[in-house]
Amino acid sequence: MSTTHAPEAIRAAVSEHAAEFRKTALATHLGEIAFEDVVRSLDPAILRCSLPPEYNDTPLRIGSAPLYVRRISESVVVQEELAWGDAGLVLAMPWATLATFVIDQMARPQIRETHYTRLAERSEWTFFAVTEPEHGSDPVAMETTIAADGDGLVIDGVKRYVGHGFRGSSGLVFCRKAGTSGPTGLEIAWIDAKTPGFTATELRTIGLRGAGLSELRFDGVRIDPGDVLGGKSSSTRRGLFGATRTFDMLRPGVGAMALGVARAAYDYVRAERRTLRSDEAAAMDRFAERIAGARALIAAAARAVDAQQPCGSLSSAAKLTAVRLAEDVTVASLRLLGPCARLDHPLMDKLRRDAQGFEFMEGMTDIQRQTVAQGYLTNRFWPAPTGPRA
Amino acid sequence: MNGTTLVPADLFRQCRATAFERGLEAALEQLAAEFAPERTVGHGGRAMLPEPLLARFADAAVTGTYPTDTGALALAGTGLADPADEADWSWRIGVAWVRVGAVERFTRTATDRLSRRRIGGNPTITLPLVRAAVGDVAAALGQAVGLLDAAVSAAEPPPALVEAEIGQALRTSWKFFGASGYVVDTASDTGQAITLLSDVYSIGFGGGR
Repeated sequence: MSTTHAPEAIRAAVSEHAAEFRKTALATHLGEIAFEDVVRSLDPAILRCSLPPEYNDTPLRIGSAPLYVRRISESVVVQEELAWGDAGLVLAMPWATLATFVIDQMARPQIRETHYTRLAERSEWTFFAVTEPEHGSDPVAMETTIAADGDGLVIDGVKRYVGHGFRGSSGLVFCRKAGTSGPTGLEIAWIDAKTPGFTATELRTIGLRGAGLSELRFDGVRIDPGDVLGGKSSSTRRGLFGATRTFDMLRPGVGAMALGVARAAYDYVRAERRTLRSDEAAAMDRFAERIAGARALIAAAARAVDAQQPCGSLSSAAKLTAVRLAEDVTVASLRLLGPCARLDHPLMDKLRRDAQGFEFMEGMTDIQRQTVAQGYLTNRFWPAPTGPRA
Repeated sequence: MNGTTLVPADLFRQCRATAFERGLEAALEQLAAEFAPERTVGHGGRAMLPEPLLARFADAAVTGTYPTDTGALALAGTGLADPADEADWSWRIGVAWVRVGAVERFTRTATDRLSRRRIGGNPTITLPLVRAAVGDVAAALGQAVGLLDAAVSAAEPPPALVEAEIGQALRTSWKFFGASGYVVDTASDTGQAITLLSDVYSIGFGGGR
């Protein structure tokens, strides 16, 4: 693992990139510029910022030291800063995919090599397909199947709300072994998007448009048995295990992006409303405190992930807190900007729309509340080690 | 209130019912029948109405069209003064009633959907946390209706809390649609239209320039 950097040093290293993100935020949201074109025009240092050292010869730098954003505690700082600029563009980054985390943990070396080579050399996107149209991400009800067919396997089903789906050159798909039911029997398979039988359609969203949500159809998609992840592990260590662990790892990042949007809205109001009534100023002061609180909780959850401690409930608390904050700040900001603020302040309208989207990423608020409660009641809520503070 | 358009209180309640049963356009048409066109102008001289009603203005410049589950509303600049400047709140109070009915319709659509969907083999609507959230929506709308009723009785504009309660109910209901409510489709279109209607015709506002 590379040198440990203080959060504030990381923040300073990324702030210029965040300002660049802001320049295209409204144009991409309104469809005047394609996210893909903006991504390909970015500084390679930010385009590859979370790639492993062996695939990244242009890392971010703090002084003379390289910054490979491989720890979650580093990633959340980068995500918060960049989301301040444009959360949509953060989600359009090729590295912003759940698939990377699963591939790192569970894929055989050849898949990992293919994944990172495509990312490093061609900035290609990867999807992670879990959610289904009628069942959400309920593993018990999952209907996409994987079945033996000769010496290969065949995938059939439909996935929906999959990030990068239409632009991905490859991805992971969550599916059920034919003939099984319940939470067991689930597998994660790697597929190339050029495989016959695979089609992807973009779904236009009201915000966070860089995510590239899509509907994916698998109509007799043939794969090699070696492309099932964790194939040599026990059934309890793959499939649902991989997804659960990934979600636990990624929730602090979702919280960090929501926090970045909250900060962006807060800063926007501060810039537009130079004078505030006393009650308005008090409300803004309270938001500043909540921003600091959410950042501290996200940092604690990220440190727990990095320490490989059980972190599900703390990660959920981080996401829950930040998503609520983003909603409250953006709603209040529109009010503070006066009547018809959505029409007169289009960036603020975009921030509000973006804030709405975090609710649906990696589990909705009510799910997070239950996870937090379960962790708290079973004394697994506070595993966070000490470390660099945000 | 100076220059107030006098509207029978029952009409407001009927408009709420119309919004619930037939949608935003029908309710706004019913309400607008009681008002001169210049009295249906909102903040900044804007009007947000079914497009045929904009023909009542001499110089309406349409700047956007917002689909709903039952049609569409058009946003236009009218070049006319905001009647709230003369303390005529009647139209906005009527629109608040319409928005209550629209959110009730929106919520019913959402809960019907949750009744059809299942988690772990059970209808989603039976989950305690989901039902608690439905209760939150009902309580928020109940408070809004209570404040609007009281305002009608007192012949005064209701407090800005009405806006907060209707807005909170809408946002909570919107989440019932899950990710499908975040995709540009009927649910999100309708949610956006109700939201923008509240911006154009808000009763009270805490901010300023």
